[in-house]
Amino acid sequence: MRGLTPARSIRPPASIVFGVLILILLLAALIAVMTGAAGIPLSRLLPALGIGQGVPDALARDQLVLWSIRLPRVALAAMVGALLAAAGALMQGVFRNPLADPALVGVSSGAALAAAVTIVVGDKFLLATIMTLPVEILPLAAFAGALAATLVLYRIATHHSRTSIAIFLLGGLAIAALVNAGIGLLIFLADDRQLRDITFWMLGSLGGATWQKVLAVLPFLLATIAAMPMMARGLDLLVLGEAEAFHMGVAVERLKRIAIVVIALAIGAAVSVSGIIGFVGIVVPHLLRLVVGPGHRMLLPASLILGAALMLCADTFARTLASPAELPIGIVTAAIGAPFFLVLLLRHRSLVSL
Amino acid sequence: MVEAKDVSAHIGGSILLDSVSLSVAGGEMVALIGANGAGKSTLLRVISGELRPQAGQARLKGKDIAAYRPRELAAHRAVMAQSVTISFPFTVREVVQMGGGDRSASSVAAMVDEALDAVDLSHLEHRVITTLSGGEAQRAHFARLMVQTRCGEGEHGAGAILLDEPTEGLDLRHQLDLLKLAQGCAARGAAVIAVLHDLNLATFFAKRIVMLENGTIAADGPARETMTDAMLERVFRIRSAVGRMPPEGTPFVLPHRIETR
Repeated sequence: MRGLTPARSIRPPASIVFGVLILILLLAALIAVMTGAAGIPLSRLLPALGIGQGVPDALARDQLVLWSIRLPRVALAAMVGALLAAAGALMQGVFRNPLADPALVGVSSGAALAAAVTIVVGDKFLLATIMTLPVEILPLAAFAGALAATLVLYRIATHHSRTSIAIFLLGGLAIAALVNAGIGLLIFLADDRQLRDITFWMLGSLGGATWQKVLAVLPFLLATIAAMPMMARGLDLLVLGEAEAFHMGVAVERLKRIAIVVIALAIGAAVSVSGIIGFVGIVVPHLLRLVVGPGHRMLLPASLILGAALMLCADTFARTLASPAELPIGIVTAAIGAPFFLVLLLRHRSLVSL
Repeated sequence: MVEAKDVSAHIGGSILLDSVSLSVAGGEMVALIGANGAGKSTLLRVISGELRPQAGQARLKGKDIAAYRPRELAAHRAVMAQSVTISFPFTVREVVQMGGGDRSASSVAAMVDEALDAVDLSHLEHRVITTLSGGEAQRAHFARLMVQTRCGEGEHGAGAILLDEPTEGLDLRHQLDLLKLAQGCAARGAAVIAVLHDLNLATFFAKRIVMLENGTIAADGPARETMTDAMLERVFRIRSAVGRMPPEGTPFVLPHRIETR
């Protein structure tokens, strides 16, 4: 572990940590709003937002780009990043496993499969009617899929109230494989339009962000945030082990139930609008632990903010690298996150021994 | 204070505890000894409320242990289990502070300082616990237990302290220090039950020795009466030469292996 975890540690005060994090988030949001296929320089940004006078002919176009394309996308990216990072931190805490990531162990795939099934089956049912599938249904379906995957994973990895890190990762691998087989079957059965939608889940993308999607995800984000203070202390004590946490007054089973539901809520909501975006859940909490320490009272809210900021950067990068075409963001996060994970795996080698 | 009544526990086909009854009063320090697999840890887990026995009942302060909520229980009894593994980089101070539960860092700061000093870890308080030696980490966990005990005492008076091999991995001086601290808790009114493997430490620190053998209590009483050649041969299958130290006649043990053919 040497190198990644300094032997001595003095934590910076919360006010400084959150001040810096919010500054990073605002900066990332500003850059994300300004850059894109149709750029909006700073001088035209304020008028487009409705503050001050602008040049009339550019103003209308700027406003259209800003309000109907850029802002919903920035909002959605930030929310998805926050949800993924928070879910990662929660998952690592509840499974006492610094290597846990919802996308890696099949939970995101579970959510994607449930959403894809809903699309294909829903289409069949709605074919005779003029209705289209309401956006609000997908987060709920994805939540159910994520919850099912998490529960199966928990049953596999936990034995006599001990959770094996190795079994957890391997079990997650098997769940991901099984779920991906299901998605493969759907791809095989899908028609062209459905195929496009399903592929979008497999690669992960924030394209097609709308205010409607932002509103559909918002309650899930609020629920995740609201549940955090309830869990923070218990997760800290859980680090010592389930028996020890119980000895110190934690209702362990209740805590785990709440955490698993919140993980599924967060992942379900994120996946339903952005597909499978991996490694945010492992990179963000790990970076933060180096600075604020592993205490969940700081780690959970800080993960929300840094997750949002990092996702905005990744999305801006994905939008601009091959502009005007867009790189699926899942590719960007995997390209950065997977090597990061491998380094972590090497550092924690002793923990993973079977 | 602590009571086990006809407690039986089995996992699968094997009987871990067979109708064990034990009662420990506040102010008492009891050493639980016995061979590996005799049921010491299981008994401790039942008394702590962690393991529900198949028969019988564990009571704490006259109330069924199963009737306590976890948080309430934590204020009345503290437990140090064997070998805690931590996979996140908490500092020593943060771990000790966990003993305070919900309380803010500043409100338990004095208690944390005191506990760190008592286990001789003040100089390592900002070290990440995963970088400590086994014995140092063990002392940190004992300091955590002391903070939890102090917090509980402040609210409900003295409670129970259950220690499973607390001296494991400690050097001689820190073994003595730790048991001295446990004795101090008993002096303040706590019922202390400690699983110990070192028979001489047990006789030195505990006025009362409880010997377990195959899930039953083989002997229960002052060291003078329980630490006998015959009893040790029965419980541990060792031939020992129990000597007597003047002036009180405290027994000491020099074990020898029984040659079996």
